Amino acid sequence: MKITRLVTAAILLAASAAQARDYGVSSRSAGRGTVYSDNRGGSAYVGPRGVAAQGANGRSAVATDRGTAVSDRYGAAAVGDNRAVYARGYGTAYTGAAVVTTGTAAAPLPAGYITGIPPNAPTFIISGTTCYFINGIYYHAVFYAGNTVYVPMTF
Amino acid sequence: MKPFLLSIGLLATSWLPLSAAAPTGEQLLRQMSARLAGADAFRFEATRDIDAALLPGITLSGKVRIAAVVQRPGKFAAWSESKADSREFIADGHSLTIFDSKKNLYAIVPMPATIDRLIAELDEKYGFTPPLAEFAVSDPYQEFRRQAHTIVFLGREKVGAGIFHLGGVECDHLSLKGKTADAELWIGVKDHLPRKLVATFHRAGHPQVRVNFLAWDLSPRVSSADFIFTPPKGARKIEMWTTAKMRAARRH
Repeated sequence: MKITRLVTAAILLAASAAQARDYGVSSRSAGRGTVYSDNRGGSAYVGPRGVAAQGANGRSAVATDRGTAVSDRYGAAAVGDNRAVYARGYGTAYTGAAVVTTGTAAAPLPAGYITGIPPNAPTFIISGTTCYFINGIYYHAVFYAGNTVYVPMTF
Repeated sequence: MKPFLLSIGLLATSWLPLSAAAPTGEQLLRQMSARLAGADAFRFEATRDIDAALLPGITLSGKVRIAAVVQRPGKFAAWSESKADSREFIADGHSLTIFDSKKNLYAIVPMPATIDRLIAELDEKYGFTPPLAEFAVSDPYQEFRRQAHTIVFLGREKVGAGIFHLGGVECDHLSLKGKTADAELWIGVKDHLPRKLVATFHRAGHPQVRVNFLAWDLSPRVSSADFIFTPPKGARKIEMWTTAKMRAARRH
């Protein structure tokens, strides 16, 4: 799994400079930490509180003592001390990021679905259903676990 | 009588009746349950405050004001309102309607005829229960007992008392210990009705649910109109998804 690989890469880059050279990367000091980079455009920062890595393809990962986060072209995910967050398509700016906590009393909202629609989102009627078009995805409203949520349309 | 002796005397008289009665948590919970179960119809108002850790992605969050009316055996209506959202839950003995009045959306699904079965089916099939529905079931004692392995009477204290301990309702204070949460419940000494509930969950941060019952009416005027939903102008009917359907959609 790509996300797993990114996390693994970040952990690898937390190793010593000597070990880093074994992986074919150069290093320089930056702030309180070290930046490692390779000739293909990938780079990683290793600091006193964690590590961050970005590949040449723009995918990135960060790991600290408080949790881990990764992102790729499909979205982003984070795992913290006691919760996980996943956001798809358009980052975490909307309220739509589904949050999963362990042992939740209420049924958790599934990843990728959203609970709010931006006020200026274009509205369409598709097969008699009102839909909202947000960042390339058509959503429609349903009640789930007693709340209004917006789920992607399936065609 | 000297002031000191008077104080001792007052303390003794206030303590003696309680000691003589020696109620147990079990007895007090059964008393409360019998009072609610014995009412053919009742209304209550409450505030419910839920810590954010218990509301993952849920929009109806934080402090919510709830009003509910119950007509046994099968009619239940609840209105909950917060700053951000408002919901209506109306069960008429045949179907359940949920209405999100802020977004003007509603859903109607068929439901069993009794409140007990309605709550069980909602929980099992749709992953939620209407607000404070555990007080509307035919045997609230069983509902609490299912979740609490230990019930202890802690003593008497006032709920809702103001400055200098004036006003408020004299309550029996119970501690309920459960697998997923511990709860404290305050039951009115005179009317045996729940006045306050604080549940603390066994997880990081010890998030809480706090309920304050503001008013009870066990002889309310209830009409069929209380359980009829008429969609407002422009309201859109949407689907109510089961947890199974949402789980299947998640796999796509």
